[in-house]
Amino acid sequence: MSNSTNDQTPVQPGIAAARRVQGWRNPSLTVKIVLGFSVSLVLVVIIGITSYRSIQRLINDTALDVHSRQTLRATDNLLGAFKDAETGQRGYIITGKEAYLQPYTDAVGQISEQETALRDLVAGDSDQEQRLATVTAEGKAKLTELQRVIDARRNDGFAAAQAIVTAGVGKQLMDQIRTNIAELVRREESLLELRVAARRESAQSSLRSVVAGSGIAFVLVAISSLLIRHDIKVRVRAESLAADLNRQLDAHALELEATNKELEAFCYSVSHDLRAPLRSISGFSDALREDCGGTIGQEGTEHLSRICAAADRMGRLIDDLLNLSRVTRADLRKTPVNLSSIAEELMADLREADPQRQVEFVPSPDLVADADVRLIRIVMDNLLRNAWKFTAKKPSARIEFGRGAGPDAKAFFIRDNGAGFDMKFSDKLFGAFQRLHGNAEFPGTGVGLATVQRIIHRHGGRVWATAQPDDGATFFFTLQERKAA
Amino acid sequence: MNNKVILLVEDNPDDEALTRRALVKNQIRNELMVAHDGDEAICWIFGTGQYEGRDVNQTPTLILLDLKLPKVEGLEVLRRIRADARTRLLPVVILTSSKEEQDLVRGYGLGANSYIRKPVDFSQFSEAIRQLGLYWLVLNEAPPEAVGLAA
Repeated sequence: MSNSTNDQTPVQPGIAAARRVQGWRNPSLTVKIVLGFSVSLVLVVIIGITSYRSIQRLINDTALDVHSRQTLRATDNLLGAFKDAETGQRGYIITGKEAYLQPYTDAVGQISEQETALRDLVAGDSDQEQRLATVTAEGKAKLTELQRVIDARRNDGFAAAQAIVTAGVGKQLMDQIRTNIAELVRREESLLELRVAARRESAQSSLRSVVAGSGIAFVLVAISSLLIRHDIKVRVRAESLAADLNRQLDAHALELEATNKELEAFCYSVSHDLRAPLRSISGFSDALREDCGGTIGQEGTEHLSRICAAADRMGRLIDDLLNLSRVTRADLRKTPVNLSSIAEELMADLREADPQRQVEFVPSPDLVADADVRLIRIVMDNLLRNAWKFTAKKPSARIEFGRGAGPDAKAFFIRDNGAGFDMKFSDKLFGAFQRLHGNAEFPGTGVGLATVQRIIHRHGGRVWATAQPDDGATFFFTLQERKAA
Repeated sequence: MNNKVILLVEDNPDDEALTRRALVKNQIRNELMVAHDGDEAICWIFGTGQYEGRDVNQTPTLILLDLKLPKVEGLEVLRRIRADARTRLLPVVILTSSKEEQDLVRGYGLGANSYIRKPVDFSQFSEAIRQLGLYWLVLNEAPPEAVGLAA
């Protein structure tokens, strides 16, 4: 089908359309669709991962927040415990009653407890650890100082205790503890704030990427869907067109089959019925000549001879036409055929039929071609018979069979040195009933070369001739040059 | 040369006349029975229909059979001849205008002894009849009658 050199059969518009529509097989479209879906899929996966990470971070941050809040609470408790310790100590100093020492005693345990908890909470943050260590050391000093004042009150009375308090060491220590704890709190709060800000930023950015990614994926999926829809539409159209064409083709095939059957019946009738009257004409003319020759005289007998010859000629014409139609209908069965040996056989037949002629025959040996042996025999027979006929008036007739050279290397040729013809009539050479010589000069029906051309075309080959008047003719033919019709 | 009947199955009176002329011209003097269509030929050979009561043991020595015939076509006549034990060995020569391959193949396939295409030229036709008579009536040894009947 895809033979572009076949210029003899115009492409039907419908078939051309079908070929155009077959463009749906175009791989670039498929690639585009697959690419669209792949990119969308990748985007969805990226969005998923981003969201997962963002949420994971949120969960982690939330845990950190809880941690920070625990730290803050513990810090608060620690400061509270120091205040309680001081409050209890002061109450005891003022009153001297042991019962006032209870908050102090509770706070001492509380301080140790909160310090242990805080150490755990700030573990890993070296700044905070450092600060906590400072606070712990100061706390220890503070508690020692508190205990010293309590001891002084218990052993030496209020004035001794008051003297130590008035010295201000305790207050100074307490101020330092306050300052450092405030620092711890500030530090933890700033961490918390930073995390909140980062979280907001991260949430916003993942929101942005989710929105953008979803948008892009949606657009890509939409485009791919449109392409697929278009593809399906085109495919459906192509299929329906193909189905239409097939239906048309089937109809044509049926028509053709019917026509062929009709043609066959016609040929059968021609072969049988047209010849019968010719036989009557020829037979009864002959009878007339034999039975009444004396009566009709010399001239009458001559007329009868002409009638017989005409009937004969028409008989041959019918036979040639039947052959022409037969080569069109016959099945083509190609096998390797030795053209050279066929040529020699045919030349032997010609010599036998016309033994008084002296013709030199020069065949190239063993030229083989893929052809239908019966049909190619008809080709060779016609061409050799022509060569034989048109060299009849040459004293030293010569016929060649061989293979062309140069650009004609694929072609076979049959060359003679006979009557030739004028090249300006060469277009008439292969038409049925076209003759370049008068019947009196060289008899013939004008069907032989038409038959040759038809057979060669059926083989997918080409036939042509070169000649000069009175200087012979060369007939070239190729087989299988293009796809056979 | 025997004197038995030659059966010519031919619908065209011109061809009939020309065949007669060719036979006479070639000194073939056997009685000529002419059937003008396939049905008449079958009736005559098997003694049925219009030829009811004919002695069917009087078989023709040669049947010249055209193919394109009214009523029953030539190849069917040949099939019937070959299908019957009494006639299956009779020499049948197809004498016709057609040289379509299908006719040749089917003719020989059904057991024709020869296939001759009538030439347009009368002298060629006459020569064909001469050779035909020489071969089938003189040179050819016919099978013994008993074989045909017993088989």
